[in-house]
Amino acid sequence: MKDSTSYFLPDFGSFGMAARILVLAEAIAVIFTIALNTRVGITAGRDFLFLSAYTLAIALVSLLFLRIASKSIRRLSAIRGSFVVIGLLLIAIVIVTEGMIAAFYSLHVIPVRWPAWQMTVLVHSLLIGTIVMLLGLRHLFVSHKAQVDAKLEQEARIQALQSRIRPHFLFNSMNSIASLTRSDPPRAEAALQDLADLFRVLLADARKLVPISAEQEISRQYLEIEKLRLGDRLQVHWTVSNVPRNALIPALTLQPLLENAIYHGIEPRFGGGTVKVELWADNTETLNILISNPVPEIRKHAHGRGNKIAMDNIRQRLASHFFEAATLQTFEEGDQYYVKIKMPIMKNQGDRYLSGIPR
Amino acid sequence: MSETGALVEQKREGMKVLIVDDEKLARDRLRELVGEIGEYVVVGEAMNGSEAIAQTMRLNPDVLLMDIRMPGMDGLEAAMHLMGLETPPGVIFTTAYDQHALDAFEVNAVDYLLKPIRKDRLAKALSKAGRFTLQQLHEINQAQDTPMTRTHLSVHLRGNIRLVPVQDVLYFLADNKYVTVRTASEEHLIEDSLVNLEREFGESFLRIHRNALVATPYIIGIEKDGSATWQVALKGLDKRLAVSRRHAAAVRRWARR
Repeated sequence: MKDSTSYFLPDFGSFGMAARILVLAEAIAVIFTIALNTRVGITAGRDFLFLSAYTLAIALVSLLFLRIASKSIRRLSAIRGSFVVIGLLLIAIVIVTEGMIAAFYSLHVIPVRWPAWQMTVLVHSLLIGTIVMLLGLRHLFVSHKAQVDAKLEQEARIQALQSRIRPHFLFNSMNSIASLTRSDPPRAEAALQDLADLFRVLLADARKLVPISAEQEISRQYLEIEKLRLGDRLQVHWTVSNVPRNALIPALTLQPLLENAIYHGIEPRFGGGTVKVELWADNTETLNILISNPVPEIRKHAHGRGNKIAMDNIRQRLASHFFEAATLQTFEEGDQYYVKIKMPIMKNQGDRYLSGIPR
Repeated sequence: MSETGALVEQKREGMKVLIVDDEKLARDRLRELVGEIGEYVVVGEAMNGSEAIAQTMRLNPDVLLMDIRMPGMDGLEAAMHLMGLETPPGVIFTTAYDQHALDAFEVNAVDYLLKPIRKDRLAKALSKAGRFTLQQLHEINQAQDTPMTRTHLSVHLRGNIRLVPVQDVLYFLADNKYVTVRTASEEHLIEDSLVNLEREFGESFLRIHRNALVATPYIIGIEKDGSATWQVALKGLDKRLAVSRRHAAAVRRWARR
């Protein structure tokens, strides 16, 4: 199968395509009639009829060729297919032009079989045909790309949403809360409140910047819910030093990383483990976030797609605020998996990070 | 018709249930719901697949309520091992979410319950808890977002299941219908094919002969003996395994990496 995202040629055998090509041919006839005549009159009418007949004849012959060749064209790459399409049009132009001159001669419209202007007409027609066809293909390419982009963007949005709300976490948490409503109603209530707060943030606009203290708070609430499920198997160790509380980071930077660490590092381990979170500032300019989790003893599954989506999502949002000034790295050392983020410290919501960016 | 129905009802009375989930709150909830439904007795709990198998051997439950995603051996794998029993227990899977796997459950008519678990659904599932085939379980596994590879092999001995961790296996040697599984201290026979084993564990096993797969982490040397055939030396094993001429190139390629 062809890669449908890069293949832009339509089915030339289709009715829609035929209609479009005929309209285009007629449009060319109109343009040249206008170009040749300064006044509306008999001459203009005659030119129009003649040019229409000429362009439509070329269009019809091309359509016939395309119809026959459409299956073979679809087997070629988009570029080769385009060359074939142009080639077929040029052949159609030669056939129609030569045929018309031969017909005029036999009908005694013109006196000689090989008039002096024959070459000029042919070359002009071929040039015009090539240019129109290139523009047409360009149009097909652009409109196809627009369609693909729209589709990709929609998919990206859905993925972004799913990377924020892992259904596995949501439904397991609800199951825990259902269990607690019987055995420990106050804890069930607290858990529901944490879950509600978390979802308010998850559903909010993830493109905005929030103070790191707010992100820490939402992470803490998230961890409370996970502790309900995992109990002592989940230990979290925070080390926060000299980080300004009002330093701004993209919303949902910390929480999804913690969720990844738990999903991939703690849950698959029988005895659980410790997630370490370190936040610190280098001088007053750079904020560092380092999150680590143990790797599972046994790797039953190939590395999931979910992890990569979440990382890409955070990377994109970091880049949209800080450009190259922010980095996200992941690495394994010993039996620990690390995610390290470096980003500039910014305290003012209004202005985007500007210094140090090559323009 | 109605008489057999009544008979089944009677048999269900006092049916023994084993609850398998790594989360305590999930186990508590199931235990409570099963209690409320009545008719069933929770005979035990387990926290992952290996425990579930051990408990099944000990307690002989009629049906398992088993989570799929668990640390160590997960629920699907445990069910696969249990299928080898002469009279395997019924298994009802519980799961939070995996769209693709759920479709496969439906297709294969394997019982499952979605978390949070509802009492009425649980009662219905328990009342018709059925058995299924290994093939169905394999299909569900393949449909999962990230299919698992088994952590253990099961050896069936007189109605017992003996679990052999895959990471302890030195090599697999095929012989007619059976495959010999060799660990540092033991040898077992399993009913499987090398092709299947290679497909599943190919990442850590290397084919050195038409009838032999060796565990790459245990390879300590590849040497030539007098008669110019290559041999593989494995950690903790005195004898050498012969590399066939057809596989020699692939083995040397692996050694260079």
